[in-house]
Amino acid sequence: MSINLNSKIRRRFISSGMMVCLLLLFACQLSYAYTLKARAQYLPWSGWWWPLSQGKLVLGYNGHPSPSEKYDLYSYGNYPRAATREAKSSSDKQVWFNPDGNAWMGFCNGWVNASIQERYEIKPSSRNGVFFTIGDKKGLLSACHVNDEILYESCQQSPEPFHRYLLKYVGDEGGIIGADLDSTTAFWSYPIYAYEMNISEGQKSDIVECKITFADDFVDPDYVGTKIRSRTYRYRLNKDDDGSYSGSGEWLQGDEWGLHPQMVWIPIGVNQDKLFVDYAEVKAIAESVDDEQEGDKLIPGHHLIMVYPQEKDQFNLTPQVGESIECKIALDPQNVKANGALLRLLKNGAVIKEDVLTSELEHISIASDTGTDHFTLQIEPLPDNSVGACVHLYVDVEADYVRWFYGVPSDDYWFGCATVSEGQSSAARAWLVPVGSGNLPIGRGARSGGGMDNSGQWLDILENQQTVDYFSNDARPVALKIVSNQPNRSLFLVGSNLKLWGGAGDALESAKATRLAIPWLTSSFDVRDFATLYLANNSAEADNITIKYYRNNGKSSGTVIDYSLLPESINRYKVDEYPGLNGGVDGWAVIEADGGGLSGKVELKEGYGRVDQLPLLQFSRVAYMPHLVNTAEWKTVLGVCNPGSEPLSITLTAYLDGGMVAQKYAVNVDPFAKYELELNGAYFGLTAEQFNRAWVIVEGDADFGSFMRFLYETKSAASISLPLNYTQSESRKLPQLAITDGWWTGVVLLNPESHPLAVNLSVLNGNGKVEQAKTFTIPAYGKFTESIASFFEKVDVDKMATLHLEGEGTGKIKALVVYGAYDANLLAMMSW
Amino acid sequence: MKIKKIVLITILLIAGLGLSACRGVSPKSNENRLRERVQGYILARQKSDLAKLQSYFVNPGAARMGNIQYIKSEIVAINMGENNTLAEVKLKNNIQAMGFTFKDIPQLMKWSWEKGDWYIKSAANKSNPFKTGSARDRVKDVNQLKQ
Repeated sequence: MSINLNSKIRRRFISSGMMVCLLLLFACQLSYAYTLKARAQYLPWSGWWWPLSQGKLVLGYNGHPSPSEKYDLYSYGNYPRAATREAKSSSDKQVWFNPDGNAWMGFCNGWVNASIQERYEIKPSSRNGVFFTIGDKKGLLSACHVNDEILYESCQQSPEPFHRYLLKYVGDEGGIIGADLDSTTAFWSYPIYAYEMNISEGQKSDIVECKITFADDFVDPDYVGTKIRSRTYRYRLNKDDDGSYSGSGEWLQGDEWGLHPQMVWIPIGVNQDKLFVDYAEVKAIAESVDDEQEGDKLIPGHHLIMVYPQEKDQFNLTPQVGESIECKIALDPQNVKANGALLRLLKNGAVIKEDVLTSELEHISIASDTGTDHFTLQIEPLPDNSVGACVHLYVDVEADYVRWFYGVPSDDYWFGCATVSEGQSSAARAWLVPVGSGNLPIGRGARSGGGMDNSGQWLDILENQQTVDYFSNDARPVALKIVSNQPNRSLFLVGSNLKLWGGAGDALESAKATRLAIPWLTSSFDVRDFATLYLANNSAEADNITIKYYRNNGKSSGTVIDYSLLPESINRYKVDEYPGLNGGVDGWAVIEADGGGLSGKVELKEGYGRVDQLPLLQFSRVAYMPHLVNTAEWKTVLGVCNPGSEPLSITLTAYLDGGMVAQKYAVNVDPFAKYELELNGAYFGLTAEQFNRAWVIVEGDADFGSFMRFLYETKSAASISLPLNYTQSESRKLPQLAITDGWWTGVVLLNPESHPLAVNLSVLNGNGKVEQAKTFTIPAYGKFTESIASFFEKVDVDKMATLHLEGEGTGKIKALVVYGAYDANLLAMMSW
Repeated sequence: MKIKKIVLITILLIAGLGLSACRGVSPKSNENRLRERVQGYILARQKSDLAKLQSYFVNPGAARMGNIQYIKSEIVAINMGENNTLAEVKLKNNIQAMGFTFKDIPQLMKWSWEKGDWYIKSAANKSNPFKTGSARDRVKDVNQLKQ
């Protein structure tokens, strides 16, 4: 909204009394006098002048992030980036911070140009997760306008240009002119928007007493409106013989310090060449109002809510039975102190909570025993808040069924997830929550529609996860969780044209072991492979863990005792940053927790071509390798970690076409060693073709951790922890079939039992409707290996969304699902 | 100057042949050439011969070989487009990957007549395995909130 006060009051007028006086003066052959008054059609806004030596555009005028850091956050998702870096040291562009500069140097001329040209109301707002105060906006605008193209003239020698600019641009055009009102070497600029001239005419010169009105810049950066000042000058304008002004003249009387205008100008436009920020982006920021939250339905994530005086933002929340919506809310500390906000929570229309917000997070838990309660969260400015307030609102959801994926990729990769409900309740619903290292939601999540019941599938590609929450000091999401009040299975995949990794979400139920193996660790001496470790403490109490690091040969690389994982924290450790370890280790580790909330994974980047991952491994005496392949290109590798101080004896028994293969393979694994074995038919006396149809049971005389990897030359790799000897549900659903667009999905079902199992396998569409069901028997110790598109060849591949495995006794089946692409070296795998 | 009859006939014959060539490739011969090219492409793919495979692409860099083995492919249909310069080719493939066998996997290719021959017109695959139309539509209302 533009400011429009007393517009069009810019007429010359000569009072009738003055006319009489003039006539008398003329009759007496004396000079006569008249008055000229004018005012611009709009008011310039007051803003601070941002002294260069203080550098508060870069260092912050109101804490961090500073205006330049906020620009970086808005434009790049993190800081310091171009704006903050170049602001201090640019060689060819306008710097924003010069500690050695003169005290009077600043952006007063930039402010003048901005206040003349940026004719809209500047209000605080939030964009891209950043709260922009009035000061941030005015500061960035002022910096952008410092080197504007201008039309200017010097008034040092004569006041005539000053006089002429006022008459032409303010008087005739209703605009505003910029002027340096300091005739010394210093430069103090102001936007002049009105004048009143008393002119005494003479034959050879006129004497002018000119009062100008302008906006001031000695204000707080967050100042709202126009602080008005005025000054009066007296000057003489010489005339030519024809009576027109000659251009020469003299300043007769300056302001109270004896100073007079030195230069006048009008700005023409921004000089982008002198800027290291994009003016168009700065303008978009400055013009923005309100926030990006749409509608009254909240989704998980971090929301930066902006509320203005006389308005109220409200959100409707209807938690289902088993869901608890966890809101944490605080006032952004960069709000001007007086600009507070009020939080109100209503249940079924009645106020149950009302609090004045502070910059400390306030926690509100919203749940309903019946699933029929309607809650409303209201945020509004306090009555004396004249500007508005910015509020951080974190929305999380708690429910019994949570699937975690640790390690959110950069925006160079697509990141997708799919989930399917295994519950039969029609109230099933899923929430997607991106989580930062402090376990606060970060970025924007999502909520499933109403189709999660009846096997309905929900899938999404997550975009723009590169976000920063400077309030919680989180740089980006480190994990993603799917939360539901019904049992569910999830798949998370990350990829590009060259890489693919991911797998099933880590369910907390399976992470309740207190002793786990970290299967891969690397050191900086390994310039090819990089293992990033994620450790999460999902309990409400600190978890003191012990980590015993080993090289692959079992030699100790150190033990870390009582390493504390903060409550509800997700921790990311890169090479050489592993907990409590000075430097990295090429090997593995045993991790022991005193609580039950520990989970995590290792992400392994191998060279430039592959990314693979494994969860933390549970220990067991029996594990299964449901699928084997050994060709010229494909390899199967078994990995075994021995956490014991005694040698571990491992026996590998192969089964082919339902029968046990007589030749077994036994191997000893040294104490605390990790052993990797590339398997082939020769270990069992099988041909390559037989080996590729076989499966293997791995048995130890003590507990061990195990995984298997499938490798395609050096181009593809996918790993899973080996399925262990526990029983699953007799109705399990696969969250995603990738069949179209050059993707394939393969499924392996292994029956480790000594009797046949009747299996019902159905392919469902995205609405949970069965497209085709097939019933078949997997013989004792037999397995089923099929590509889904081939097995359900009569079903339109576009309709294949999920897979449903049912049948009595099928909980014993060890299942494996492989995702790949036809014309790319992409491969990912999940235990099912 | 009199031109000998035999010289005149020769000139006319040459001109006739030239004009005949200017008529361009007939639709039938064009399709036959496409069929030859597709067969060549299938063979190069089965042999995992990347250099040869690249010779079938408008943009050779778009040729891809993944971690799968094409065992057998056959042409199901060729649909010639307008002006016989564009064609859709439907293939049926038998594939092996990581111990899985894929039978009769359909494939739709787009070929174009450029630089005097048929080439595959394709961009690098940028798809992801989560593109499933019906399911995505169902969550659209939720995704709208993310904008």
